Amino acid sequence: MAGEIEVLLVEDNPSDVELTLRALQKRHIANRIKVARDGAEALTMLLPEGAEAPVPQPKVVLLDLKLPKVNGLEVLRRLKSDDRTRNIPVVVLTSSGEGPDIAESYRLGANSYIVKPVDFEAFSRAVADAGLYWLLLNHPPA
Amino acid sequence: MTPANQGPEIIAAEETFRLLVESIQDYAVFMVDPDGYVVTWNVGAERLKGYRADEIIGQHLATFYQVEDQAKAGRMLQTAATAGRASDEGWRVRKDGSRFWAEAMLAAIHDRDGRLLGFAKVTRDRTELRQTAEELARTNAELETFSYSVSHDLRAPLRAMNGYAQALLEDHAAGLDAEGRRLLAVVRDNAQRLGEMIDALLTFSRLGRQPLKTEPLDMTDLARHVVEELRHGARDHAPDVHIDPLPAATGDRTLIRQVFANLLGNAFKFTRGRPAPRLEIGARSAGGDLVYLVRDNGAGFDMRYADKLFQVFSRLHRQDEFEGTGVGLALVQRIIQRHGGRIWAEGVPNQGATFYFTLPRESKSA
Repeated sequence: MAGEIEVLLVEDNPSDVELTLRALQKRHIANRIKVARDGAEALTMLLPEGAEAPVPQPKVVLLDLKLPKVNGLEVLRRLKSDDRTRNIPVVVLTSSGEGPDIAESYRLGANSYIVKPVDFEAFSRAVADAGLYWLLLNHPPA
Repeated sequence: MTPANQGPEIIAAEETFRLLVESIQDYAVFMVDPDGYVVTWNVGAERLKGYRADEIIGQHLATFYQVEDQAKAGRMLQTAATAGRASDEGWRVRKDGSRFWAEAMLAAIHDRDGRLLGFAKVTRDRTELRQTAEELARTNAELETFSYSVSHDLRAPLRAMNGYAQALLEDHAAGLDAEGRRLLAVVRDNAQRLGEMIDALLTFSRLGRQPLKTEPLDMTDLARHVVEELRHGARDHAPDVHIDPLPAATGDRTLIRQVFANLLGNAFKFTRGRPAPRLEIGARSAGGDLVYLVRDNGAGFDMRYADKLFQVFSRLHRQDEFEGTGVGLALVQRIIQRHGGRIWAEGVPNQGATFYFTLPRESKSA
């Protein structure tokens, strides 16, 4: 399907956006990547108001937790509680393993959770592995 | 003692006791009747609650409670009547309307036939303690927010530094000479090191907050496992390790394991490249304490700097001699202190170091 988005990256930090895109493209994992720069933008893309007809959905969402306007946990909660988006795998990306975020993410239905390492190689590996798994190996319910 | 002279002695003893109670200043000690009405009053009660005896005798216990809490007075009387005693903490109101945080105990008093005569009430002012506890809770919550934000916000720019340096190396290596590539590598090394330091600092701050899960510990087993792990991680460095049978202790398994991991990790590190490297893990009983020790014949340290050993980010060796974040021993000290133990060290430059720590004996928690 032409124009179909494979990966939606929800991330506000421009450096992290660039580095994540680079990691995915370097490994030829995804070519059609879209970026939402805050939680509200992600929700508008995935759950447009009043649209009953299914909008084209990405195969995987890479979601940062610390976002302006609507934070990542809220985005996750909304995606996992709406029939239109419930089955899209969500990989939570966050800066730290501190705090209650990990438990809360899984409780809300996150499919994976990745702590972004400071080491860039480890970061690209983590992002690429998650992208690879959910794009190529996972078969969502039809 | 004959029955004839028992009477006056008891009366004298009662008088002494009454005077004793009346003169207690720091505790409100008074009696209420079975229905909760004040019968006696002491100096401490007057000081604490602001009423003179003639103002309060005959008034109900509920007078001392905040309006919204007055039902508690009745419940406390009920509990004390059935269980023998009741205790409670909470805000109370003085005569002038001001509040204080009370720690109170109510004990039922029965006569020889088991009839309820009334209750003895002992109250003390714990306002300062309460305020300190509240302040501490607030500070802890702030610290939590602080470390959370440190871990998120400080790591992001580091990741960017590291990532862009890496991107530069990957995409523009041809445009850089050897010196240019070396400089970039230095930037990356330092970014990574700062990342490690932030993580170590976070681990350290988290330690003060998480509750201890104590259990009996087989210390020999714990030490042996850590040594095996270290051997695995350092194949090119194989010091001779001697583990004495260690007495069992009581502690949090994960944390005490971390103590061994740090102390033995240091011993591995500081014996690297030295002739006949040797580690020794032992224990001895000294003055009722259970003392464990980890000894090595490595780089050692100058006793003049011994007080710096356990400070965060303080190191006795240059980074190019021995790598490290400077948090390890601070972490170890914090763990031992939280277990109620002590830690200290002895060292001689170029001859080695010995670290000692104490832990509660296994029997204590049983």
